[in-house]
Amino acid sequence: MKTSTAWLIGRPRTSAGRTRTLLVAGGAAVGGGLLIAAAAVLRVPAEEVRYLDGGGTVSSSSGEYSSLVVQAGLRPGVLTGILLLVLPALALAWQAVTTGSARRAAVHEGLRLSGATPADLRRVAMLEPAVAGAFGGLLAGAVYLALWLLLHVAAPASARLLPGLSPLDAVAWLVVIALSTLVGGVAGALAATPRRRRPVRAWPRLLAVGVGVLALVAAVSAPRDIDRHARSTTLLCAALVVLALGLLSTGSIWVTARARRLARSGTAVDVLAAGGLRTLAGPAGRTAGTTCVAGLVIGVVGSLTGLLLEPQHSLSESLPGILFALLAGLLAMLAAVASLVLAATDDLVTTRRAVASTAALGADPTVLEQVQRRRLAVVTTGPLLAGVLLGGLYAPGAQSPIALGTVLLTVALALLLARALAVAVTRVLRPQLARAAAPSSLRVA
Amino acid sequence: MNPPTLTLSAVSHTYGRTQALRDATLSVAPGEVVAVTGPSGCGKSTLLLLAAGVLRAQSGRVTVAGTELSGVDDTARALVRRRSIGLVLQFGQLVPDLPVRDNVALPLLLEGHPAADARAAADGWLDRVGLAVGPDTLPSELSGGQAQLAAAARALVHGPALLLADEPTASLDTRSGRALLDLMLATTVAAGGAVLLVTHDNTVAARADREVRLRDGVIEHEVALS
Amino acid sequence: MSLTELHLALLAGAPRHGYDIKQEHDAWFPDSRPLPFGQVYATLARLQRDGLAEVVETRVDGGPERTVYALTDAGDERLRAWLTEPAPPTGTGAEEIVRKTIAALHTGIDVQGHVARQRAVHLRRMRELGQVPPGASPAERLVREHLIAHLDADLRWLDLATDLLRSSPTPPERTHS
Repeated sequence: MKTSTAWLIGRPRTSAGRTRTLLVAGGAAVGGGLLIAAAAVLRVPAEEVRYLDGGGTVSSSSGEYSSLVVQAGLRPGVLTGILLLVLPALALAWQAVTTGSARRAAVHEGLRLSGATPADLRRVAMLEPAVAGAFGGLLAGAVYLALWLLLHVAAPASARLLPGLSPLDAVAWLVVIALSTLVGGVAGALAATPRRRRPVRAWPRLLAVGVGVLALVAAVSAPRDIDRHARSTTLLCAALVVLALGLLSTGSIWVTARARRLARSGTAVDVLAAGGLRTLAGPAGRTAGTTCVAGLVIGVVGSLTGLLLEPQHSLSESLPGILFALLAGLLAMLAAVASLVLAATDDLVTTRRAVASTAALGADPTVLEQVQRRRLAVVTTGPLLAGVLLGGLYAPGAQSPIALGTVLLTVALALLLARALAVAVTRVLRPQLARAAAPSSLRVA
Repeated sequence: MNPPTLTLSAVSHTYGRTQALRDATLSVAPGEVVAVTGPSGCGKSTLLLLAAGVLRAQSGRVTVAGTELSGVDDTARALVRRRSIGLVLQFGQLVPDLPVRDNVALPLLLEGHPAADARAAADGWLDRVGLAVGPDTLPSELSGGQAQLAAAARALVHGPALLLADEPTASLDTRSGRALLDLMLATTVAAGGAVLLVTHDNTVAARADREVRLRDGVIEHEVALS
Repeated sequence: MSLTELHLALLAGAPRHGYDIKQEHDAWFPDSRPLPFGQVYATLARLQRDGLAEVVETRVDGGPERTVYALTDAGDERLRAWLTEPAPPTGTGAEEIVRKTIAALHTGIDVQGHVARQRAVHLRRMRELGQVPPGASPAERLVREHLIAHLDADLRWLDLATDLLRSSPTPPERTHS
């Protein structure tokens, strides 16, 4: 099949399709820009500490950059921070790629019946996420440029995290473009591959979460040793990645379990909400996973902020770190919101007929909205809170009472946030809900 | 006599523990119209999907236009479907999000025809089946009957050697159903194509040259009608 | 007249006397006119004369004398020949398809073959009727449509009858008195 034909068939036509493309591109752009920044941090000349005979030390640091990126012990921490930002961005992009799975299954089936070969189907499935990925890769340059302006040009020397621009940035950019295009395409092909329905095995996923938690606790509670700092930070990074992947994959288990509980409870709203959750356990699970990872980031951010507020750090020294942490928290929240809107829109598009039949059977709009909100609450409140608590493990591990305080504050804020999110998203989607409940949706195949 | 366009020999198919089709043997010659009838759940649709190569026969052989479908991979079966088979299923099974016109043009587009030519051909067939749509009309804007008309146009656009239709007129009223069936049979048979109709509607079955009756996955009888 | 063959079918299961035959007939065709005794005995006499049925027993148990009839080989042959021939596809005013189908289902003689043959003649007729000659007037088309609709109804009934009687666990009970 010609690529032009694949594009003709696969290009996004509906507003849902365009949203998906934009989110994939956006996630890739933010993730890619941060990765370029991470590569750039490695270019900052590291501080060499010489021990003097008399017992003092002499630092080679010119004082041009923040100690966060100069000190061998702190730099991996910054890289961890950047990684924490990349995770929700990529989780969101993956969720966007896999969104609308029911609709894509119908497309797949229609094409297959008309004689599309498996290779044709793969090409159609790959093209759009690949283009979105490439677009995101291009935008990653702009994201990096903005970061550079913020963290190099505008920042005072004590808060400067990034070095000046160099041709190496362009190389990193090209690599990011190539990677995001490739990953986008592969993700699209993966998302479109029809998988056999089989019972989800819970234990390997829960095991990954367990291992991640243990590694996190181990990394945080390990004795602070300047020489081993780099190693423990690497362990921390690895722990967070394992934990994040584990959490992403346990989303559907959580959703299925909740759906079973709701179905038993017996009120009409709960039963209706459970029905939708069960049929869409995959997509809803991915949303829960993304929300949980966002919660994890927010939890870690809360702990870090607490740690940085400890009296032994001077405010001017820790301010860039705090700002950076808050930015991370903000981005994680944005990812959570985008993920929720995406999931809820997708849900409404997929279940239009079910919504319309429920309305036709006599459910009034407020009931439909309650069902919608209940479903959103399942994928927000629990996962967000679980993520925040897991991320908050950072604080007791570090044995800092202030950090414990900020974690508790973060938990309270996260609870409020989860409630507000479910309500706000339902409100935003009210017109879409009304459209889905319209009788004309009854005849949609 | 020409070799049959479609042959099923001793084909069986099981879904999980349910045996949908047992030892079905059947052939359709070029220019012949065969109706497969039987009560709901008798295995009619399974037989059609096996003939289309959408399902792979678990035992027995399915041959379409000289290619044995059970012996080749998914790609080869897709190519047979694209080049030699026109498929009309009960609910149209159009590709959502793709305009109706492009849906009809799909077999030609997949085969690598220029988009302009494929769309012109699609417009011609949409006109013949009597479905007036704009260039951007989406399948979701069609009624069930209109979707069936579009699916029929899609099945005819590439002049298939074998037309497979599952309840092709189920969503249409008597008159438009008959007109569509007339068009489908006349064009395919005139070009030497073979037709396999799956239906529980006797008035549709009465258009065939032969009736094959299925019950509980077994061919119960086969009678010539012409 | 198919009433002769219908009597053969009524005798096919077991030897019966006239009263039994009447009861059985009325049970097979609950909405048709009850069979008058006179007709039963007249038909039985004719069957005996033609060698299709024979008297096997004369019972007297307290009441009136009852003659029990049974099918002869020739009668059985005649019945099977009748069932092999499908009812003409007239669509309207035909009790023949009902008689034959009920008889086939009750006697269990080649039910599947009966359904196949009956469907074939009906579908063939529907096919012919569907091929309207080019110069046909609208009125003629309508007459054809009327017949097609009735033939379709016959076939649907045939489906239903075979389905219902097949899915009932035991063969329909015979009435004995």
